[in-house]
Amino acid sequence: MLFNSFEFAIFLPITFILYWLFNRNLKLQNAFIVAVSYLFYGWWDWRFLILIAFTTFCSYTSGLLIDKANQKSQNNKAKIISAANITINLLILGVFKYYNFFVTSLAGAFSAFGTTLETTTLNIILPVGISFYTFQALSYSIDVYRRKIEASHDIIAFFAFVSFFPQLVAGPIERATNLLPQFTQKRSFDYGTAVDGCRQILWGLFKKIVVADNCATTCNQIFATYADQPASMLMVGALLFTFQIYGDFSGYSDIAIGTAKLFGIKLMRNFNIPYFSRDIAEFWRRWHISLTTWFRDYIYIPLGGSRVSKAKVVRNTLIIFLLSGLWHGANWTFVVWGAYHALLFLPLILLGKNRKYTSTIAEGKHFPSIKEFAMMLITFLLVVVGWIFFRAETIGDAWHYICGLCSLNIFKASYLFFTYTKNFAGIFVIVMLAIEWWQRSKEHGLGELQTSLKRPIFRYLLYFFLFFSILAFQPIDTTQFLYFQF
Amino acid sequence: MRKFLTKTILTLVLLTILYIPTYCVMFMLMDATKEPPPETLRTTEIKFNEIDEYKDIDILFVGSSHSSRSFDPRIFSQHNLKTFNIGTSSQTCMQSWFIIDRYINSLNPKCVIIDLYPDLMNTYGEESAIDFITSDFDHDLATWEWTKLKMAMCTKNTNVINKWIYRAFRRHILRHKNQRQTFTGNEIHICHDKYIRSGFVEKDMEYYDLKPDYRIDTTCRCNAMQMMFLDKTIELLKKRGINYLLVEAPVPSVLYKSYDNHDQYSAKISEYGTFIDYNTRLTLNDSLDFYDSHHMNQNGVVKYDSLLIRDLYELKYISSVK
Repeated sequence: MLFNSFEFAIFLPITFILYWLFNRNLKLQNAFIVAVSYLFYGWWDWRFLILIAFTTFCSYTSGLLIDKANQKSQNNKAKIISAANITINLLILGVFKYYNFFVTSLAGAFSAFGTTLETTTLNIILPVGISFYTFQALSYSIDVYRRKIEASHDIIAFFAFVSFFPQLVAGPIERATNLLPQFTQKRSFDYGTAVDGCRQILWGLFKKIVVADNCATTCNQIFATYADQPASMLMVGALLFTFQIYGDFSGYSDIAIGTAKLFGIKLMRNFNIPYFSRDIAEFWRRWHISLTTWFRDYIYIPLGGSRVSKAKVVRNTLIIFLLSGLWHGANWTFVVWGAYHALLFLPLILLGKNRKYTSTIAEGKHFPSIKEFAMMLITFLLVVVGWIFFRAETIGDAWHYICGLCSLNIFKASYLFFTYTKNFAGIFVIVMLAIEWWQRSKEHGLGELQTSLKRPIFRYLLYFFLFFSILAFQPIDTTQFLYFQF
Repeated sequence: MRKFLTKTILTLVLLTILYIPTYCVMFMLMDATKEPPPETLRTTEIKFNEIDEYKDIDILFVGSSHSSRSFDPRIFSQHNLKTFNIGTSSQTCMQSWFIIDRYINSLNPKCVIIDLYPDLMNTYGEESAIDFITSDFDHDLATWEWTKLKMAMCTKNTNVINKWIYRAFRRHILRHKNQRQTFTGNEIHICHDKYIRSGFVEKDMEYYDLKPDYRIDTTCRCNAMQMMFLDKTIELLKKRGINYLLVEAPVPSVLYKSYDNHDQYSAKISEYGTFIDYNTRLTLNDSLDFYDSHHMNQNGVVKYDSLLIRDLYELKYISSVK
């Protein structure tokens, strides 16, 4: 079920009302969450519910066994169980997501040396959100092994933690330390939180339907015909994809977080105005925060993080960026995208400047300084180049696209320019950026709106503008959320 | 909780009430609604303004442009068969159901030929719904408006519903109508097409240069909504004792070969009744019998219709009507 579908518009209010009707009985409320979450996921393909249930059950059982071993100080046993659970989860992920990629890559490598390798690929569908829920389930058993949390003995609460529908298919990838305790405590309805949730849903829908989908219409055409496009259109295409992926993914996260708020659950923030970053390190602290911090906590720091020799820092940085790239998809383009960001990030970490900008940009001011603006622009353009690798079908396509961008026909328009001017995407991108800049110290674009816009009439006018744009400017071919494929 | 629900519902109602007039006025001023190509718009409009003249026909054809550009009433009339072709651009099973349901009593066909184009079986019929919504019909405006709204709702696409809102406002409040062309004899010339009475759209073009790589491999998929409407249509026809035949019109071989699971698709469609895939029954030349990557020119149409008539005789569909 998609957040921007009619089905979800019916599903959400019914679920919301029934959920709060079950408020007196926590177990029943959690069981209800599991049931509706499975319905939400099964709407796409019910067969894969077995996979989620299996992943959840493995993590739940391993958590209990690790906890038992920890209590008896059987460290080796705990390690083996934890490793077994990680292996099972990664094996499932590997088979469904990476098997064909590795097999064809291996065959390609052999053929480069003149040897033909007989391979068999699997004709299987990639289960939606498999990377998200697998990582969430993994984090739990690792945290139990590290004794950061106690193993859950409440199987229903645990199933609710893994399958909680707002963040099941595209995150944020929650940690057990944050989300699991929320399912073991009685939740109470809070008017302010629910209103804030509605605002965040509205903002997320605007970013997804109005910004991302309108950008996608022209962007897809440009990327499909990039060889025939002048440099000016290639630039437009790269910029549109930059805002498409942001609007799409951060929009999804906003809808997920807002929906969770309606159910009295607080999810972690996933995006924090990343395109206003002053360097790449700041960008990575603000982009897909739940994944970045996952890699930091479960891979980068265990490898030694930045408190090791410079050679190892380089190794650790490369590992997490390459893995991050691969996490996004089974294609070399994602690996190159990860490597590109690693190359941008390495100088900062080696010079110890990776935490230079941790505060909100232009705090207490209306506009950034010229220096800040220039840094933002440079960082933004570097990110845009990276997205070309992310979006292209092959590395060769990405390279040709970039070469095309560097040609002299930068001022030449093509027929697509006129298509582009018709769909208002550029105007909506500006509106989104303006609102996010104005609200940059808040949790989301419409966060704490009663303090930013004190007069209700202005707040309602803003709601109406967003509501109107969502309904009136939706392109006819509304795309799925991009991050579902990851 | 009660306060939250009341305020949320009131806000949504208020926003919706404000939305409708704002949308209509804004789009009236901007005139920015994307229209389907004029020839498509006109043929649907002309067809459904003409349909009321027909009663008690022998064969009714439904489907997409593969239907409207394939079944020539003049060829069928040579066999004393009175036909009407209600195929329209990108018409899916959903639209076909609404149209058959609407006209089954007045047309009272003895046989219905349903053309099923695989590419449309996994859509929600947005393009065709917009085609109907933007067409202005002369008769039964109120019931047509209701049919159009139902089509729009079935697509579950806000964009299509918006088009309905704007067009209803344009038709009923502003009293604007599309300009109408009139018949000269039995045909109307529209751009490069010729609309022939009884719903056929003819194209004369003798050679088409089809690019062999224009289409990548595609999997035929049928979504639940389209299958439900196909099921409903067949149920209605069976209930009324009307013969029906499911067909797939010939397409250029490049397009046909691009389906990687056509056998499975055919098997699935065959569960709904007699299905004839004319791509396997008729060998046509991609350049001489087609005028574009989808549709036959008059050479192809003559060959296809002649074979279909022969098949109808063999299946005893025609002997039962005559």
